[in-house]
Order: sequence, then structure tokens, then C-alpha cells
Amino acid sequence: MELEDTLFSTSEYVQTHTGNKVSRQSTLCGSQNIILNGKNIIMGESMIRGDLANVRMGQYCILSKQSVIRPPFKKFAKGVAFFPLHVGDHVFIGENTVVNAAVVGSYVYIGKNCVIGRRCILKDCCMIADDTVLPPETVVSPFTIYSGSPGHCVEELPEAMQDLMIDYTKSFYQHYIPDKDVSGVNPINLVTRK
Amino acid sequence: MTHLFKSEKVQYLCTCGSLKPLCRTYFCRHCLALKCGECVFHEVDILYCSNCLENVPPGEARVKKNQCSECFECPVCDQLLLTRATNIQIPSAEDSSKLVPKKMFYLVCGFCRWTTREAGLPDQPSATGSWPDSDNVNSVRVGALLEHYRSLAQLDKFEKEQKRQLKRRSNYLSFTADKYSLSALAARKRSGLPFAGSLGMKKETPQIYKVEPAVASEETDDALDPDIFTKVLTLSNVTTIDQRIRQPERQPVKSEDLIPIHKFLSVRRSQRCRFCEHNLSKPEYNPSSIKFKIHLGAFYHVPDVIIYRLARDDMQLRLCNRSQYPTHVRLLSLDQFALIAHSKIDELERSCGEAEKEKKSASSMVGHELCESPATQAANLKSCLRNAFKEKVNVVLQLPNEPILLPARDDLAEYELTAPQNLKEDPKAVLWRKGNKVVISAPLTVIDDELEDKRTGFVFEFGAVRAGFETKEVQPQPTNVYIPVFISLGKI
Repeated sequence: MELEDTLFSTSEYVQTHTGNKVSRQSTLCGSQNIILNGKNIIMGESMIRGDLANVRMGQYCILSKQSVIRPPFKKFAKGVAFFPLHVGDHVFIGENTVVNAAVVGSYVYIGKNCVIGRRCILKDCCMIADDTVLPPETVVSPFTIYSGSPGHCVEELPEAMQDLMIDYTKSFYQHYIPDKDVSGVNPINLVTRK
Repeated sequence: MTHLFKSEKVQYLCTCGSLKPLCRTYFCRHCLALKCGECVFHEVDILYCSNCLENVPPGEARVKKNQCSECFECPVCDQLLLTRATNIQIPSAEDSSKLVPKKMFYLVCGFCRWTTREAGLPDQPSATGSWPDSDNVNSVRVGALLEHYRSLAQLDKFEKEQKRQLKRRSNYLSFTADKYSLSALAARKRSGLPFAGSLGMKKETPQIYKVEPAVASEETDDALDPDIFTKVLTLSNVTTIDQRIRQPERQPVKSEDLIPIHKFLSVRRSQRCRFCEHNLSKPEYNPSSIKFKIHLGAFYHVPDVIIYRLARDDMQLRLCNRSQYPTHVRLLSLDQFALIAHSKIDELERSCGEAEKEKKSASSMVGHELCESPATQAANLKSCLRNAFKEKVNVVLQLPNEPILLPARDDLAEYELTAPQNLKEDPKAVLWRKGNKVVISAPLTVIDDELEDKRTGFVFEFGAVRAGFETKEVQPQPTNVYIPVFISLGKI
């Protein structure tokens, strides 16, 4: 089925000049370290911990409600260091998920209520089903679906996964539109920062 | 997410008769037919470790029993084992009174926190490659049995070769012996002596490797410990059946006997059409790459149908063309398709008769000739018709009559603002058009209200270019391909 239009209240969201739709109720810690490449959606009550390390997200990424993106750390003999977290293009992250991975590839679908362990590597075109727990340092290879707690590879994805994710994220973005202000004034607020 | 590719709503009928969503099917450009995962050959293309993403050549994989040499799995929960280091103080090599720190490594599971120390394995001085392999108690006996059967197989092969040689030679000798004065050879054969000067054939018969026959005994090795009747059992000390079966050589009963298991290799498959034996999908050599060398998914060649809007008496379908060529699509009802198919089958059978006159039999045709032959095309149409009418349909659609143009896939089209003009289309049928996507209206009529789950079907007719004919001078003519599509509407 084609997605229905999802309306969001204009007072709640901020749209930047690169097309990112960021909710005012989300927490972006250390926003100078967070790079959103354009046309991303950050929904309400989610959190990106840019204060720990750099976070870079590609285009058309969707971060659903109450999710957390937190860069992973590594214990050294002399202390703890946080590593940057890179998220690729066309990634969908479901609600209530904690992403602690080192790298999330492109065209990835992460379900809701998942826990992605620290320093995990999610390659391109993979899928993490709902309610999955991935232990630390798991490598998820392309075209696989991981499910369960602990996560095991359960199924294989079709080869068209890349185009399916592109279509899905683009249509999600296009259908995520603001409801019009009553007075007819242009409801989109532009801010200069990313 | 289930609507992305697990959706059972819109399904395409494959040549084998099974219904699959479009993304799970392949389109053979030589047969011009839809093939699903069940009617293609699956071949192992690449063996790789899913953790270190390293390619393993097939010969090496066979030697290592399809296991990665570097990566280990936890015997308790089947997750990856991580290498941790500790520092211990040992006397240094030069001066035995001084203590020098040295790194020792052990494995720990990230999920259940099992460590190699629980199995009693000592910490290793090097990070990789030094963990002991599981010892197989029966390996000597199994090896001896394998040798025995291998020698038996060789003996069989030798005897077969001999029989074949004798058979050939017997005919030869009986007919030509007197003619070419080979009577000496004939005499030798009659007396039963072996053939002299035997052209490099081994004269000795292979020996059978002798093995002692097994002796049956009443006592077994894995008898139940009598303590089980007297002492209290702690379940955490006993392995589960899953854990035991994961190490079939040892099958430890106690948890303290569990040792790390080498991680098994994963496989990337390539698919091949069963009929014309062309490759349909072949991945790249690098396991972390998402590109394909050959990628003939139906998603990229057959127009895609999605339910755009659904109401009690009206449905809107969105057609999307993801191929490089524009195509004209016609949506036919099942009865219309039956009429067209019957007339085509008659036409093809007539041309079949003419081909027979040219003395071309099916067995002599190979590759694209076989796919193109009228006999094959007629057979395909017949089976398609038969499979399409097996599906029960209880809702009828009112489909547009004229062919609808679906432009080719163009990634820059989304930045274009003007829609293509000069298209004379019925505005009631084609509601909306953007790039390579078209929304058409298809009003519903329920014919059978008994079942709650409503299903409807129609047949796609679109033009596809047959592979193998692309030359620069001549533009290949598209042939019409018919694919039945069935949509489950659920309860409306």
C-alpha cells in the first residue's frame, strides 16, 4: 500500500534549508558535532548524543520517536574514548531503539525496540527486525535479517533491497508534511544551522 | 516494514504456478518469463565468514570443514566471542628475578559472559590462531573406515574400466581378426590371458584397505552417571541438547566441557534459469559489496503494481516502470487474456508445424533458439493460462482498455517540473502521472460475497526486449509478455 500522508504540527518541527525536519522535542546534544546531510527526519523525544563524539547521518534518514543514537566507547588502559558514529543514506530507525553501533551502512532498516550493541557494524542493505538485541561487536553482513535476543541471522533479503529502501524513505519523507497554519502564513521556519 | 517486501497483497504468478511478491522473483530475458526462487537453480557462489567478511576459496573451505579459522562462537549462546587481554607478571628472559608484564588473551562472549576460563582453557599468549581445536575421539576409526570404502570404490571403478575395455575389444576382434591377421590376439583373448601391451592401463588391481570389523558390546560410553540418583542435580552444570548437538564430535554433557566453536562460513548464492541455463543473479566477489555482476530481478524489468487507495467500490493502482526502456502496458481481465492466449497458441502451433518441416527438432536447439522456438512459447502460454485459472477470484475490476505508456526510469526526472505532454489518455482511467509512475483507477465489483477475503486478478501485457539481440544498427523489437497478477484485498 502507498503510505498515507503523516501530518506533523508545524510548531513542533523545524525545517532547515537542506530539508531536514527536526522536532523541537528531540534532544540534540552537542549539535556542532552532528552532521545531517539533508532530507532527514528526526521525530519527537529522540536523542542524538553528539556531545560524546561526531555523529554523521546521510540523506533521507528517519529517526523515529524515543530512539537514541549514541556513539560507542572503547576502554583503553588509560581511560575511555568515544568513537564517531557514521550512519549511511536511506536508513530507517524504528521507535524506542538504542543504536550504539560503530557504523551503520546505507539502505538499512532497524525495527522498533531494538538494542544495537556497542561497536556493532551494520553493513549496507541489512535489516534488524523488531525487538532484536545485538550483542557488542556483532557484524551484520549485507542482505541478511537479524532477529531475536541475541540476534541471529534468520532470513535473506531480496536483491532489490537497495531500491526498496530508497523508495520507502523517499516516500516517507515526501508524505511527512506539515499541517497548514490557520492564518495561511508559510508555516516552515528556516534556521541557518544544520 | 512488512509492507515493503513481505506483503502478500500484490502477487505475481510465476511460470511454476506459485504466487510471489515481485521483489522475490527474477525475470529471464531470454525466456521472457518470470521465475521465482523455487524454479531456478541456486548455486553456491561465494563462501565467506560473516564476521571478518573474508572470502574463502572453496578448496580451502573444504579442508577447514567450512569454518573460519580466526572467528569463534560461544558454545552457550552461539554469539561471537571477543578477545580480551590481561597483563600478567612473568619472570623476564634475561633476568629471572625481575618480573615483566606480558599480555595474555582469553575469549569472552558479549551476550552471556561465558569465558574460556570456565572451560579450563589456559590464556593464550597470542591473540589469534592458538586456541586448541576440538579433538574427535573417533577420528582414527572414521578415517580407517573412509579409507576402506575409498579403496572399495577404486576397485569398483577399475573393474568397470576393465569390463568396458573387454567389451569394446571383443567386438573388434571378432569382426576383424581374420581380415587383418590379428588371429594371435584373438587366440589370446579366447584362452583368457590378459591383453598384452595394454596401452598404459594399470596391471595391478588396487588393493582393498583392510579394516577390522566393529564389535558390538552392551556397554555404551555415554552411560548415565549413577550420581544422578543420589546427588542433587544443578541444571546449570548440564548442557542443553542444542549446545550438545552444536559440537557433534564431542557432545559434552557437562557445561565445563564446552569449548569455543569455530564460526561456520556463510554462503552467497547465484541463481540460474532452469530452462535456458542463463544466470539470473550473480553477486560481486567482495562479500560486503551490495552490487551485482548480473542482476535480472523482476523488480527492474516488470512494471510494479501497488494499491494506491482502496475503498469499498473503488481502487486505485499505481504502476511503476523501473526498467531502462519505456513500455506500453495493457491491463487485461482474465477472460480477455484467455481469448488472446488461445489465438496466440493456435498461431504458434501452426508455425510449429512449419518448423518441423524444416527438420529442426527441439533437442538440436540450444540457448536462445530454444527459448524463442514456437513450441516453447506455446507451451509457456498454455501453462500460464492453466495456472492463472486455478486461482479463485471473487472481485472483478473495470480496467482501462487502451495501452498506457510507462516512461523509462530516469533518476533526473524527479527534478523536472513539466509533465510529458501530447498524451491522449482517458482522464478517468489515468488519474495521475509523474515520471515513471502512473496511477490508474479500477472500480471494483464484488461477484462473490461469501468469503470475507476478497481477491482479484488481472493480466499485465507489456513489451519486453529479448536479450541477445542488441546491436547498434537495429533496435530490437519488444515482444509482448503476459504476467498474471493477483491482489488480495482483505476485507472491504
